[in-house]
Amino acid sequence: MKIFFLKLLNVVLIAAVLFIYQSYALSRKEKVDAYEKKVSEYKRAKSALEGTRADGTYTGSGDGYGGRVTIQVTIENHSIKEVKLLSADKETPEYLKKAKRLLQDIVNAQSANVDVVSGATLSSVGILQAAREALKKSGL
Amino acid sequence: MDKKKKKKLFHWGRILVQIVMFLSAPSLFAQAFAAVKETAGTLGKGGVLTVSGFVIRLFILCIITFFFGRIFCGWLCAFGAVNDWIYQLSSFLQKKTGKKLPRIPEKWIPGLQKIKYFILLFILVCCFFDRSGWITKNSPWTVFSLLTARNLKLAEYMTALLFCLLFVIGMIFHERFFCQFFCPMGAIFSLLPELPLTSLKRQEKDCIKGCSACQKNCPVHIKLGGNNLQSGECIRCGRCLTICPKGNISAGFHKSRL
Repeated sequence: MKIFFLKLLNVVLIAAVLFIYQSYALSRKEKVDAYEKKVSEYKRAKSALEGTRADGTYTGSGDGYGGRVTIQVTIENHSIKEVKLLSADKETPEYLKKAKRLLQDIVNAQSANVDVVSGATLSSVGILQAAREALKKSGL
Repeated sequence: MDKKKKKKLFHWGRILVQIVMFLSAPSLFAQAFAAVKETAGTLGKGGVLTVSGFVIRLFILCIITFFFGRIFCGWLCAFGAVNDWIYQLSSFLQKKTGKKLPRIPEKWIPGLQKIKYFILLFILVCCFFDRSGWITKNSPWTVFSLLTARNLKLAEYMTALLFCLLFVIGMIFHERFFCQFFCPMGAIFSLLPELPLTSLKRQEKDCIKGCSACQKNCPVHIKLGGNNLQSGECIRCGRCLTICPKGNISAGFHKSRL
């Protein structure tokens, strides 16, 4: 019985730490978001100036967790405007949902050199492979 | 129903449940553990914690463990089932051929069972410092998930495959080899508090002298101390219930004997 309460105390402590952390993280998030938006705007302007990408839409595919993942990249004004998932039938929905964050990450970073989503590595790798292929096609 | 029939039903019932769970939710354990990795990663990056599908799965499994003990490990986990099946096949072949494989000395077992906590800690630290991709690349669970998704592109996961093979060899030699010594998810479950709803108890005063059939057959080597068989290691497989020649072991509040 003593062990039960010790373990329970541990769980409560961990939950409390996570709760305190969360309130801190939420207040920090706004600042981080504003900063990231600025960086993304800057990067977009930079790639527009460099003009190394030709406007148009390009598709690419890569190996995900269960099969091929195909995406479409739209280049407008020499910068990445949108990244869309065309097909990923063999991916587990839950993992794919997480990995989809990369579509926006790629636009923000104006490149496919972004970190994989932890906990959805295999689907992430598929999306990034596909994005690299599509972006290669867009290179002038 | 007589006792023997009941025991048989229990034994095959568990195997049936394991098969159904293996077919319907082969990666549940990995998805629940993904929540742990993801949380550690978020903490490392200073991000906002989110309640993803993985977190919900983990939460449900923890609640089940809180109320009923580690029945997930014993009955529902696909990887646990593989551990069981490989060992069952191995012990069947050992019986048929009459050749016995060497056993891990009993005195090493408590020490080996602690390894899983270090593995859990190691994975948490790696994820905290944003190295979860490295874990995925080398994890035997990745190979298992790919195989259960019938994805055979394993060329990039050679170290993971090697680990997987080593564990399979271990499973041939020792029952629940991965589960009790290495499983980080099991480490979390064994650290959780468990209500005594399904905990096992023994009427020690009725025991046959020097029998200890329950201990000899326990897949996770729970030490017998008096009436209480409660332990974080217990996976609620119920073997001791069926093996006891006198039906001395009961689950839950003393009454429900087999």
